[in-house]
Amino acid sequence: MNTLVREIELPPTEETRSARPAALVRAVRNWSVRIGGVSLALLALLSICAPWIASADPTLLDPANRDLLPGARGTVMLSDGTTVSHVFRMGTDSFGRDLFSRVLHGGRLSLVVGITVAALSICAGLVLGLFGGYLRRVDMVLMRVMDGLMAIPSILLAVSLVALWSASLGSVIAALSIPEVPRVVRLVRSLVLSIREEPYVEAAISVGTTTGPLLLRHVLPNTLAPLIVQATYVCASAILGESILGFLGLGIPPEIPTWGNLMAEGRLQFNLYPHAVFFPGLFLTITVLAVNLLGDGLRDTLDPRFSRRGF
Amino acid sequence: MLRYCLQRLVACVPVLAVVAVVVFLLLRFTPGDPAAIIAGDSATPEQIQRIRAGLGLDRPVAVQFGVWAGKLVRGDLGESFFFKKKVAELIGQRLEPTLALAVGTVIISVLIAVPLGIAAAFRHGGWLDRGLMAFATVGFSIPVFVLGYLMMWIVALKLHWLPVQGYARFSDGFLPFVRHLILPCLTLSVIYSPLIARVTRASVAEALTEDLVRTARSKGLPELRVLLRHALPNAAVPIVTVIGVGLALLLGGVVVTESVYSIPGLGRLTVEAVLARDFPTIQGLILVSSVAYVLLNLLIDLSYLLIDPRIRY
Repeated sequence: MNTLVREIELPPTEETRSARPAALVRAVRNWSVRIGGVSLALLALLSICAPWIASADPTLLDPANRDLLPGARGTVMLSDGTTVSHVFRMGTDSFGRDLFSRVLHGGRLSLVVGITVAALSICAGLVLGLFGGYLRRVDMVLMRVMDGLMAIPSILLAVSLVALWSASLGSVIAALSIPEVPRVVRLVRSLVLSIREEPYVEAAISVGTTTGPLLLRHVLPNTLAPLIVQATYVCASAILGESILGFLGLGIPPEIPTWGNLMAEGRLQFNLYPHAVFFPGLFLTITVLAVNLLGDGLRDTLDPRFSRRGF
Repeated sequence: MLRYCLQRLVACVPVLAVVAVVVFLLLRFTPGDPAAIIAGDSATPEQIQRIRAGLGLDRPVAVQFGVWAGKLVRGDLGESFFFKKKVAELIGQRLEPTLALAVGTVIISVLIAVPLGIAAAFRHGGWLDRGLMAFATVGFSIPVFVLGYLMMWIVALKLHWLPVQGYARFSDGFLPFVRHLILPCLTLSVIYSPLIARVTRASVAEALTEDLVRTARSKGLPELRVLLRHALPNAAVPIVTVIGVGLALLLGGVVVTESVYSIPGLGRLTVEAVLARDFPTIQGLILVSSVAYVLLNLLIDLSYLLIDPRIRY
């Protein structure tokens, strides 16, 4: 009955027949995708080229340059021991370190954390969701566990996981990935539940396809579009999460420049030198905004049916 | 009706059981000795031994869980090692600021987001609609602490309109209480209201396309009455749902906001407990916030019965 209704609702139109190229073309034409994508590419380029753009060593302590305002001039020592005159575009922190250089280097970590967390939680969620959606016996237990995990506020879970493990890049990534997994599992499961009723899955079963190849060949490819969209949202929330952990003093060790760590240091003298909080904050906001714009654009163009924000 | 309420209440039990197991395992499945983790870095072997015996760590894991869960059901969350107090008592002392912050935020967000969402739905595709959706995307993206410092800098440090940081108890007088809460609540509202505004817009826009609205209009009813009496009741369920779903977001935001504005609530307590590696307190906080989240969502589910008379169980 269900299949019958769906067939009537969705006759093979021009659009569905050539879905793949059309979706990509639509995505590239979308302004959200363009703005988000270009900003992200620029941010990535800036942070990859950080050592060349920002010549000052981001970890170099220099008491003579303490608490300079943005645009101040001074001298810095290069790695070979020579001193050169230098413009501190974003000023310095209370140890005399060049903020511009620290902000650009911080971007590297944020992007690495965002992408890694997105990849890890999507992979884990995909595997669990595929089995959960397809094998009824697993489903029952799995979904109860996921419901329980989702009842714990994700920041609280991440914070406690970091507290248990010693703070390092790896533990921060793991702590941010775990709270995201249940949301991905739910999405994949709901996709699988609707895909498994499709006629082509029935056809594949009827010609004797076993569960493994069936999931890989027929179910998996149809979950990709919504998952790409979900990955961008996970990435955005991971970048935010990493900076929150850093800001609270619980994240990656404070000597490593990340945007959260920079703001945690800056807040101590916020009253006098607000720029030390605002510059990393601005970069953080732009990055998250760019990722979210990209995600919104992809959602509108790639798969308007399934994708919603993963709240 | 009563049967349905009971059924829903029973359905919360497995979720809460999973939360309890996760919180229990959090400490047991970590590398190293839980007793040593709890005792901290400067503990003597005797102290560790005493904690181990106190927690019953020498017994099988299942028995340990049974003992621990039994205490939980009686409301005993254990004792904080850092604050040297019962965890339940500690949480009770810190509850007021967080509740005030959360309630204030929900009120402000609903007052801002619902009218804006409705207006955007009425002028679908208009400048207000586009502006609101752009604001929603920015609101989703701007980190709570960046916004918090920005507002603190402008409103408190430059304009001197409101106190910079801190909290005044309700018993200290109503005016100081409200003055200290305005900035933190507004900060959280910017994060929370886009979610409500988006759903309100979508839900009202859909309700406005229904036949009953066309009928109401063709009867010659004024537009306001069409909206309040006919469209809004049909759009209410998703709006109320998203307010509940967003509470999880809010609970997370509270941790950061309290840290920015130095509010001595549960969020600050979480950070203090984590920095001191005070695990009984962390476990208690996770449990309390999860139970609050589950029960609030249960209440919201039950409120459907009042909002939409078509829903009968």
